[in-house]
Amino acid sequence: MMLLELKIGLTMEVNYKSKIINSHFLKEKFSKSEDIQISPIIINEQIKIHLICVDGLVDSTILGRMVLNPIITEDRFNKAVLESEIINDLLNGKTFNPFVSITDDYNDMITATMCGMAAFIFDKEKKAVLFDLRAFEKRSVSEPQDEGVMKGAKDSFIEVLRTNTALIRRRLRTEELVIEHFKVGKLSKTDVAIAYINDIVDMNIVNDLRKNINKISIDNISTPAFLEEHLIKNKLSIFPQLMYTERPDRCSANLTEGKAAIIVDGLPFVYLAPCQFVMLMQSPDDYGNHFIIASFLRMIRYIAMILTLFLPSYYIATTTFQNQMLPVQLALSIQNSKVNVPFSSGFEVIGLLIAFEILIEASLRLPKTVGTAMSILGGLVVGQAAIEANLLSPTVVVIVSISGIAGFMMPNQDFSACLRVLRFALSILASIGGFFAIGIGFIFIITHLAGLESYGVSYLYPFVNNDKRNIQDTIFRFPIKYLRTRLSQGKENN
Amino acid sequence: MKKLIVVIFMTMLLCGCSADFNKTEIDEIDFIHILSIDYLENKIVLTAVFSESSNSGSDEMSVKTISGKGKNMFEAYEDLKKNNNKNISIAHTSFYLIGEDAGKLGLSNYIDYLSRDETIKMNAFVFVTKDMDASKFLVNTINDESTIHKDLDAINQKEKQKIKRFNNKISDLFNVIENNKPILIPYVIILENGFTVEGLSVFKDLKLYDYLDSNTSLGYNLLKNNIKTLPVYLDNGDGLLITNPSVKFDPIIINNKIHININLKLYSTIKEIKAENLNIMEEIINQNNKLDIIDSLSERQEDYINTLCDKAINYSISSGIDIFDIQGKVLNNLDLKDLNEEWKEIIKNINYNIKIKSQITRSLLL
Repeated sequence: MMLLELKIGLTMEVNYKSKIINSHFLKEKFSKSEDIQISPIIINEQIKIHLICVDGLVDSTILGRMVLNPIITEDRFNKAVLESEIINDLLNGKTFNPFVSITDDYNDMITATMCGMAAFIFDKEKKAVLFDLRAFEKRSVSEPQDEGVMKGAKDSFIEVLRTNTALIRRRLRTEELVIEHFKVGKLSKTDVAIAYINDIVDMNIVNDLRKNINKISIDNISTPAFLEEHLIKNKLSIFPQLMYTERPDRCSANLTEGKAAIIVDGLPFVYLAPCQFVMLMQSPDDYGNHFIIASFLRMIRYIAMILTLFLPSYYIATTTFQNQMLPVQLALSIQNSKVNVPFSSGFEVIGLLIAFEILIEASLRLPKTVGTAMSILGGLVVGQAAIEANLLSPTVVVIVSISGIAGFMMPNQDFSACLRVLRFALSILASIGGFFAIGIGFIFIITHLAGLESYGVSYLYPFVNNDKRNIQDTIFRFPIKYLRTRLSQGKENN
Repeated sequence: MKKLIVVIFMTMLLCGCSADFNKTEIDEIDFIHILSIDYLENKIVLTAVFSESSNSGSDEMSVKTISGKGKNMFEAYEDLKKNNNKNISIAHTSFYLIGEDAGKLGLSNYIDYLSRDETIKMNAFVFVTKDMDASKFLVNTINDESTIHKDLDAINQKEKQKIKRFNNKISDLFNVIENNKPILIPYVIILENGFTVEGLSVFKDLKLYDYLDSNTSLGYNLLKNNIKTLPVYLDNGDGLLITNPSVKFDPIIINNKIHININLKLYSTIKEIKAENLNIMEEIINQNNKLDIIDSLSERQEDYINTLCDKAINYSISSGIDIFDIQGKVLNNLDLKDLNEEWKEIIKNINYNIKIKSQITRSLLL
């Protein structure tokens, strides 16, 4: 407890624990934070209110022109004798800013201020009037980095939630599009929103999302994993259970299919739930091309998935255990290329896979210009030298390269990373027990996928569903006129 | 946690069983390319042809042969293993050569062992070495480090352009053992500059019985619908190419005797007509004469084909070996209650009636 003497002549007790809205308390509280501006405004020479805002988060021009100017110059305010009169005028649109609200809760006021709103503190009334004047520095809407398309929209989400919601609304101009807001993070108070189309989405998905978001109890959402791990059910599974997209058109298309989108302030992408295996194999380009071309490319993508997952392990199994699985000429060619290499096939492949991962990680960390040089040095020079020094057989380099390149064909980077991990696991299994062990690994993966669910929808849907209509957009992309039923196990009425 | 324990347990189990999975690096194995089977001094002798990689890692490969013998295939193969310094594998053996004596002893002595090996290549080819042991054939053909398996492969590829199906794959032999039908396996002979496939050897009751000459083999293949392309060289110097001929066997029983009507359709292209047989200018003017020449070509082609087919049919009748699987065709189409004789006798008394229909495609001026 401490006593504060107020300039208006009143002495009042400020309970630090109850945290009432009071300018003296706020001044004391933020005395060391220079970015938080607390300025007095005297109205009618007798009423002193305070303006609190965070420098850099508020548009000072709009604040001055649209809010402060009317307060100071207009007669209506200059005739006011009570704080309540000023509050009424502010709330009743006597300024030129319509985004106004009032609160008597200290925490709400602080959160709003930290989010970039300007708050007028009324000490006597113990209330704050909030003006939404957010105008912080932000990146402009640019081309997507991971989901670029040849034919299609070139905009992508940015780190600002409100811009992202606007990008979605621009594409779905329906009253049924709902965007619910939440605050997550005890300290960060990060804005999180769920977007869905009211009459299409299965409300169980939305309810589950609401429940999961409300259950999150962490200080700060600093990275995507902080949120993701709270929103997924099977935390041990390495398969992505939430799909992310940085494309507003893809997000809106999924909302139309009955999915829900999770938008997080600070993340330049949007999560989509529920997530199914087929979604991870779909590329935005599939819907920009002719259906035959799109189907062909998608089929190639599935082949690439099989190659990236099984090619290294197949090589190990055939060269170590079941060489009869190789055609004669290929077996002889591999045998000839391996004759002077001192390592086993398993060691060679796993070692090169690790080297491949190191190269990827290193090129991510380095500046772009150096990264390219390093890729050439690592991939070509060291690779060639290793072959010439008989440390590696050329066949292994080809196998790992094909597998690696095929992995990059995956449209979803989370899924690509998952395949990379599984590739290792299968290669290790192949080194232990050949095709028998690969078979066990494959059964394990399939069993795991068959049991995996994302917000009540089977991960392998629609492959595990009897309804043949739903295969229209899976391995092949049917013509648009056949894509009438929504690929979702949710509501059946659409 | 339970799942994690199961995964760890399974991995440990796999590691424990790893030794039983026959783990051998591919470069520690010698692949047998050709395996010859002989019967010498009451023992089965296996001779394997391997290619050895040079240690420099270059593409050059040399050929080596190793032999092993024993009372049976198993013992001979184990002896072969013992005689080679590296592990050996039969998984990539593309050719099996059977010596004449080994053929006479019977295929059943070798097929059983091969059929029990799960790694065996089912589409490997089997050849018989006419009038000699297979190991001798290998010795005579591997001169100057010649890659005999590549030569055999080349011959095989060449034959594939002419013959649709040779029926000399390992899988065909396995089938024969099951249904006990006669089998015809191509035989190879040594020439001055190498070797070639001349005709077919006949196996009766899985034992080498006879060799068919090249024309009889052609007739057999024609009637078995195995021919893809067949060049016809007529006596007067004209040349035709028959492509994908079709054959239909139509068995009927008349007076307690089987009659087989064979309908043979030939689709040919004219490849060459001698200048003296064709006055080009005259043909352009006289359309009727053009038709006459086609008729004449058809007639001569049919005569030639008839001769080939007759040879094969006569062999079947004289030897009493059902090389055309007439029994199967008759059983499928007719009720045999009326026939009282043994099949071996029936086959000798079958009446064949060949009807050949030619369709010659004109080319260029004709």
